[in-house]
Amino acid sequence: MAKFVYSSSPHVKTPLTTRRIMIEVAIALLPACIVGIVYFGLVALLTLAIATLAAVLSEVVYRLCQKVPFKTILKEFDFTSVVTGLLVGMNMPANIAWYVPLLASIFAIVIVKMVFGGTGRNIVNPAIAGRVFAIISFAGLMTTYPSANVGSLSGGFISSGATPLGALYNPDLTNTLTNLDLFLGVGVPGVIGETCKAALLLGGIYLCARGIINFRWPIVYIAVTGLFTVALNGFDFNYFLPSILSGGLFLGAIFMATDYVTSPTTKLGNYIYFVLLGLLTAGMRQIKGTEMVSYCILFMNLFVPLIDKYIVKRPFGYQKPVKVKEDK
Amino acid sequence: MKTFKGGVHVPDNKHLTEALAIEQMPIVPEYYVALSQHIGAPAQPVVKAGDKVNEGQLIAEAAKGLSANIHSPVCGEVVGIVSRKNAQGVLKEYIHLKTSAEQKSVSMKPLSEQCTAQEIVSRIAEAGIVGLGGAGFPTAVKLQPSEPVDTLIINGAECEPYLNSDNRLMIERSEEVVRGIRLIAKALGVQRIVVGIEANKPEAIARMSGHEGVEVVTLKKKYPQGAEKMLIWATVKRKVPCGQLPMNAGVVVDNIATAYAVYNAVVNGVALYKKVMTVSGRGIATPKNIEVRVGTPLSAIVEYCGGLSQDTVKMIMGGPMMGVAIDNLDIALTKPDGGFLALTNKEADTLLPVNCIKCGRCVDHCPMSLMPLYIDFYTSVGDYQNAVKYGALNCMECGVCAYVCPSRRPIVQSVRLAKFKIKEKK
Repeated sequence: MAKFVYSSSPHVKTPLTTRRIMIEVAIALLPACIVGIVYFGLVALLTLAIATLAAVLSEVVYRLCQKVPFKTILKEFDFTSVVTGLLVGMNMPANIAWYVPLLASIFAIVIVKMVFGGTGRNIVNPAIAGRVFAIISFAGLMTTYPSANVGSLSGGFISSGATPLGALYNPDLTNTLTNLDLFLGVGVPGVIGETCKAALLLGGIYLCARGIINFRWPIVYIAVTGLFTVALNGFDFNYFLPSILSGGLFLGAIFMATDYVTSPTTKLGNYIYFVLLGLLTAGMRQIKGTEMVSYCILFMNLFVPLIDKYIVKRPFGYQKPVKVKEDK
Repeated sequence: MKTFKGGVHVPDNKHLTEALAIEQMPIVPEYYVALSQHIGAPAQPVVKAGDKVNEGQLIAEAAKGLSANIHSPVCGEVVGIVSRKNAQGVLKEYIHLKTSAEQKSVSMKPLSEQCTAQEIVSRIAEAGIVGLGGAGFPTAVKLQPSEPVDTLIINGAECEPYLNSDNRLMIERSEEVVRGIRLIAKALGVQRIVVGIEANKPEAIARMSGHEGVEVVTLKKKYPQGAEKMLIWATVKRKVPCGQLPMNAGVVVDNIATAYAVYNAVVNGVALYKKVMTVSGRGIATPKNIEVRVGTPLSAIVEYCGGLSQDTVKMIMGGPMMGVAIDNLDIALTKPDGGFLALTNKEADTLLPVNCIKCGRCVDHCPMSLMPLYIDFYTSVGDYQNAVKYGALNCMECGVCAYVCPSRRPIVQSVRLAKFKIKEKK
């Protein structure tokens, strides 16, 4: 008789796998990557490629060092490192020195993910940690942004000192960009992946439509950030659109804060997480006058285990335990 | 359309056997009748090796407490009492019967439908009727609730994919089923009767509708619509308190097949030794709905349905969501078994588990609103107290969490382990 598989129920399962989910996320990142390449030229492609390859290779090398056979690594390859690598690359200024994305990706994969036990075991989002690592280590390089400019394929960058976000909080700097510019990313100085909000939004809509992320959470995060910024600036609603359209808020809200591993699992927990994240982002931006999204997400990531520990769902049919008065 | 919160849409694959009329499975040469095929103590055999028995004769009587009578499925000779593995792989006692050439059957005295509630209950006990929805809880015990009950809910949801046995019973024997339902209601002394049927069985809904005093509720097609607590919520909007029984919410839930067995026992005097089951899956040559005798070895059933195909990877006793995987066909049919499936590589999922990515799908879909990922996590590290905190003891093992899991975590297995370890500690 043939051999049969012998395992616990259920015996049929959803076709969705971790690998499938990660491929979907990578697909959703593509519009922003393509727009980034169009805006910043082939150097952007090079940066993205270095970051992604470094991420994938460092995962493979790490597992080879664990004496995992290469065939098993290939079989179990779940594309999380591709997503991490792409995100690290998207968080780099296009004309960054080649070793920055390389080191950031290696840090993200090896130190943040693999050392903790691989996919699903990391405490903070690897891409965010990679970005923060690069900002701290190469502060000068990471904050000199070229401006997005269609047709800069030849490599001629328009260098801009003030980012729109900096201008928002600093009256000395002038911002000549309109909200539409910010939305489309034309002429906006910034990193590869976060200048064009339209492309990020497109990716976000794709993820929601495919059921990978819940549309609620990015909206909550972005809305709370915008509204709290308005509140902090004397309820001046002129702050709303520029505050949500500048900086890395869209990239962070759609692709990084919604990372499964580092966000809570319950609905209430997610509300708490994303509302706090929004308040923190707006508050920190106000205080520091510069972009704080990645620091805020990194910080809030650390609270996720705590949220999941205290926000426990009540089972169906739960009854409050009747308090029995003790006789004295 | 009425339903519950959570759950998941599973491709139901009912079309394989949906339109097939129930066939009578012919008598086979040998039967193995389990002494424990219900919740509670195993029945005590009243026959010994060499005895001649008739079809329908009592061969094992209910032990004290929770137990049920067992009747001979066939006319023949008792070979002996043997130890065999059941579907779960546990060694249990079976009465081995050899079929004789001529068939003679005995039955109990038919009762009129005007009989008293007490007569119905004692007849149900005498006929060895147990819950045929899967659990096998002795029905006579269930019909004597210790709490006041005002509603009888009949479970015609049959939310397990592939299975059609209840569906076919409702279509082909609706008259008998309804009379059985009325008898159960009479035994309980309740006025309100609700039959919950999933929307993917329009023919069954049509057949079951229009009977006076029997309210048919069309339920949304969603798994696990037929789980007791979900069904009660969907039909009468009552919650069964955690750790308690449906009677604490004033209802009793019985299955369609149970109602049919009650009808047969009361009106025809026939004990429960035959049941309708679905044999399906793409690994079976000719999927069928068959009425088969309890104790029939699976090998005979599979042979009757044309055998297994080469690409069968998994054999399941029951449905694909809650059934038990089996590794051989020597297992004999028991009363609660509603189906046998042979799944091919395309149907059964055989991917190995990887790390949990905390996507939270299990939390979103859990009909009991538990947090299965943490039950799995804490069980895997041996922290059973925390597994209980996240709901291990409230779990009904419907398998929705493991169905939606992209990491293929064996969550249901973890829950069972946690329950076992907690029980062991007590």
